[in-house]
Parts: sequence; C-alpha cells; structure tokens
Amino acid sequence: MEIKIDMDGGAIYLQIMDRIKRAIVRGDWKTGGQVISVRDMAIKIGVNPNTVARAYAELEREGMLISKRGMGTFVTEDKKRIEEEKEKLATQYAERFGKEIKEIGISMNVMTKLLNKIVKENESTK
Amino acid sequence: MGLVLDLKNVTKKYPGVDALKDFSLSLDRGKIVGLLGPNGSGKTTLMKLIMGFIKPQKGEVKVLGVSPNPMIREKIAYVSELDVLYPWMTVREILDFTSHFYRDWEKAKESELLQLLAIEQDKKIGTFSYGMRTRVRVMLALCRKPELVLLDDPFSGIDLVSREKVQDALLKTYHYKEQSIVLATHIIDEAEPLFDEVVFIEKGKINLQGKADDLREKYSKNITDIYKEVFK
Amino acid sequence: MKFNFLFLKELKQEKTWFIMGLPIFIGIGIALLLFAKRWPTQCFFLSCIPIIAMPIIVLQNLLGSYTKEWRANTFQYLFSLPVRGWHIVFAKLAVNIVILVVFSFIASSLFYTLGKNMEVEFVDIARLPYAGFKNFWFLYILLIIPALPFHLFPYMLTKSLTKISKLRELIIIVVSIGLLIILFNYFLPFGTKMFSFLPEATISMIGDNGIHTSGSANFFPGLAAWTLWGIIMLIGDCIIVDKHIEI
Repeated sequence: MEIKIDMDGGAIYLQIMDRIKRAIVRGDWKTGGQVISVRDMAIKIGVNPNTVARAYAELEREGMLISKRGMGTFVTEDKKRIEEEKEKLATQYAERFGKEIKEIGISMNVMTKLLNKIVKENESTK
Repeated sequence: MGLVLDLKNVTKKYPGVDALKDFSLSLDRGKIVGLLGPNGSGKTTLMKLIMGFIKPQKGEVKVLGVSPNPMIREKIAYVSELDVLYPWMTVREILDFTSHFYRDWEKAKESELLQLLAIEQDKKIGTFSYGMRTRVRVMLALCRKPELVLLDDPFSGIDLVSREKVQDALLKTYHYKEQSIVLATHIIDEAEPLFDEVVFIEKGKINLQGKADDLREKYSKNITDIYKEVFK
Repeated sequence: MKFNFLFLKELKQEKTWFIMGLPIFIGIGIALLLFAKRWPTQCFFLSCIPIIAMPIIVLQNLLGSYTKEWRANTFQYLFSLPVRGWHIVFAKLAVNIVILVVFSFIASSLFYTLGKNMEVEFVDIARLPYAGFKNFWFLYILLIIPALPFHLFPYMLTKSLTKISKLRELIIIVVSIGLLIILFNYFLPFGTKMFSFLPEATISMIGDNGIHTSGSANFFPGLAAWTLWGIIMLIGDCIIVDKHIEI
C-alpha cells in the first residue's frame, strides 16, 4: 500500500488514518493481520514516527487496530466493525459527491444516470 | 518524560543587536522540533547557548536538565550552520577522530550511513562540494545515539539530492521515543512532515509555537504557508 | 585519552613542518657544514639565524594554529566535542613544543658544531649535570617554552572580550607591553628573590675573536621565575578558553 501525504491536505495523522482505513476496508490489510511498525511506516512514508503513532493510537481508539503488548499492532478481527467502517466511508464519499454535484446544479435523476454510466464503463474496462 | 530544553527569560545581546530577548522555551523529550525563522532571527544564537558556546546576559538555560557544559556534549550531537570540518582530513580520518570522543559512537552505523548518504570515505573533505560536506557533517551526528540532536540550518545552500539524502538519513536513524531533534531552518518545503512541533521565531522572540498537525488544522494551511503568513 | 587524539590531530595538522621543513632544514645544515671549511666565519654567522629565528617562528606558529582554526570555522567543531578547553590548549602547546625541540636540536647542533669549528669556546654552566652541547640546547628550550603561553595570552584575552570588534590588534599590543612591564619591573625581580635558594650560575661564551658574553649570576633563580610566569600565563589561557571565550 502506498501512502502519499498531501502537505495541503490538513493534519498528517488524519491523512494517514484515512489511508489506513481504506486499506483495511478494501482488504489490502488483512483482517487480524499484523501491521507494519510505527518506525517502518514513518520511514516508508517519510513522516515523523510520532505522527504515525498518533494515527495508530486514534485507529485503536476507533477499534480498527488492536495493539498486543510485546507483539505489535494488528488489524481488528472484528469483521462487523470493518463492514461498519466501510459503510461509513462509502456514505462519506457519496455525501461528498452529492454535495459537489449539487453545487453545479445537476438533478438527482441525472446524477443517478451518470453514476450508472460510470459503473458500466468501469465494468467494461475490467 | 522530562524536558530536553528549558530556557527561562534568556537575553543574549551582541554589540548592536539583541539576538534573543527575554526568550523562554521548553521542549519535551522524544520530539522532532522545527525551529523556524528567517536568517538573523536568533536560531543560531539559541543553538550556541544550548551548546554552551556563548552565555546569556540574563536568564537561565537548561539542557537535559543541567546547565550547558563541555561534558553534556557527550549526549548532544550538534551540526553547525558553518562549514566546520577540516579540509585536509579524509572522511575516514574525521570519522575516526570524532569517534574517539564519544561513548555512544556506533561503528556499525558508519557503513550504513556512508551508503545512505553516498559518501566516499577515502576522499578529502576539501575536495567535496558544499552539499557533500554538509552530508559528512550530518553523518558525524548520526553515527551516534545522542539524546539530543541539534541541526542548525542543514538545508541552506545545498543541492536537492543532498537535501533528500540528509532528510532520509535523519528519519532512518532517528531513535523513536528516545531521541529529540531540534532542526533549525528557514527552508521548510519537504522537511515539513518531519516535525512534531514547530516554533516560529523572529527577532529573538517566539511568534508562534505548537504541534505541527494542530497548526495545520487550525489554520487549514501547510506549515510553509503559515510561515509565510507569520513572517509577512 | 581524549588529549592523545587531540594531540595527534594537531600533529597531523602540522605535518608540513616535518614533511617539508625537516628535509629543508637538514639540507641547509649539511650545506653549511660542507662550506664551513672554506668560509668558517660566514657559515658560523649563518648558523646563528635559525637559533634567533626559531623562537619567533614557533611563537607565531602557535598563535597561527588558533587564528587559522578561527578563520576556517573549524574551531567550532573542536569545541563541539566533549572536551575541556584546556585539553585543546595543551594539545596545541604540546605539538609546538615538539616542533621546537626537534628543530632547535638541529639548529643547536649546527650552531655548536660550526662554533667548535671556529674554535669558539663554550663554557659550561656551573653545577649543571649536562655538559657542552646538551647544556646549550636544553637551556635554549627551557627559555623559549614559557614564552609560548605568554605569547598566546594577550590574544586570548582580546578574544574573550566580545564587546570589542575593532582595535583588536592595538589592544593586543597594549596588553603585551603592559605584561612585559609587569614581568621585567616586578615579577622577575620578585621571582628571582623568591627562588634565590637555587644555585647561582654564570652562562658565558668566549670566542677567540674576542666575543664575550655572560649571563647574570642569578641565572637559575631567574629561569625559575620565568618558568613560573609561563605557568601563570598557561593557567590564564586555559581559564579564558574554558570559561570566557565565545565561539
């Protein structure tokens, strides 16, 4: 998984959290699998390890990661929690999309058609 | 945790200039702190006070809990803003010379850093470009495991490749949770994600201080842009 | 331990003395010895030049080892190491003493040999266990060494006064003259009296051409007082470097 930090994208720990959440719900980071250490992650993405640690800690608080003493950090085994997060993220993105499309004055009807078209195009390229 | 640095009401005057005026700053251990400010803002004076090279006219400086003294330098690595290395020495010679003075010197790190920073150890320092000499200066600090690393403007006047390599080496050798780094610079750019905390100083006074991420959220701007706003 | 590495570094820094200076010095010496048969007087007088010039050169070399590092900013590196200021002062002093000992040995032996050749008579100093040449060389070194820290002191003093940026040279000269007045008018007479329990001695040199020089009867007490002055200056240098110099 590649994490690119956008300097203009607000707090870095929030960006890291967001990228990790996506990796988990997509299944790139396997349920119950061990997570790359704070230090290694920091080196990989070129940020301060304390920032990565803050992102991990927040994700732990949200129940997406679990740290086991002396063993490291793992992705939660709670599949329900992951599904929940997936829905949350999907809703978030859909809301964002809806808001932006509304701003340029397109009706819900046209929007659905547009979405269908994109989905079909994506399927055909697969 | 304890404080790595604790300055209380420090004033340092030079003939004609007040380098620091009633300056107070406390920093927790285990953080990478960006000391940001334009040239002549007092960054170097602050570094020299911490190293004990100069003494304040007023106020108190504490580093790692004690007043600066030659022996505390065993626990501090200092990279000067100046080109301080002996041009007649080879990289090998300066590494050997320096290693004798520190108990925390890690011989194993030498080859790792030579590779990471792409330094040829048999060449004379005098034959190097400025960027390359800066890499050597940084390397001398990173071959150790000091509690505090002071980097005074390591990015000024160096080429992009050197800058990237220095930053990469800094992160790779950083002792997470144990080490504190104070990095003074007036060129932030790519160094931005390195900082836990930033301290903006101008004309010997602190303008703004805080956690880098908190400031990014508060101002919805990156640190470089906040810098531009602060020093407008 | 730390001192050794500082000393070795200083020695390496002065390596031109040994790589370049030594062969040149020895070469000139051999040439003078070869020419001595044809022009004994001229060669003898030429051999006096290094004897007189040595102290000046070594004194300037010691000062130069500071000013050069200051100018090249390398001092900051030296001071960023966990060493005390006196380590640095001692290392630089020791290396310059080594240079002095090595080069004055050659200069003295040349002077002595050519003098003998001229049939100059070197009179030994009473009661000193060393005889002849050794005597001369040994005393020569002893007389110069205290001058090293003394020469450094006015420079260090002005370096520690951060308030002055201009007129530094003038202040150095004024301080030097002041110290010389104190030394000759007060310190040496007082010190000679203090060390008067030491044996008196006469140092004299009589040549067949009528050159006759002789030192005071208070030679040893005077030398002891002069050495004490050197030690005081050395302590002063160390204190300034340790506590009062801003880098």
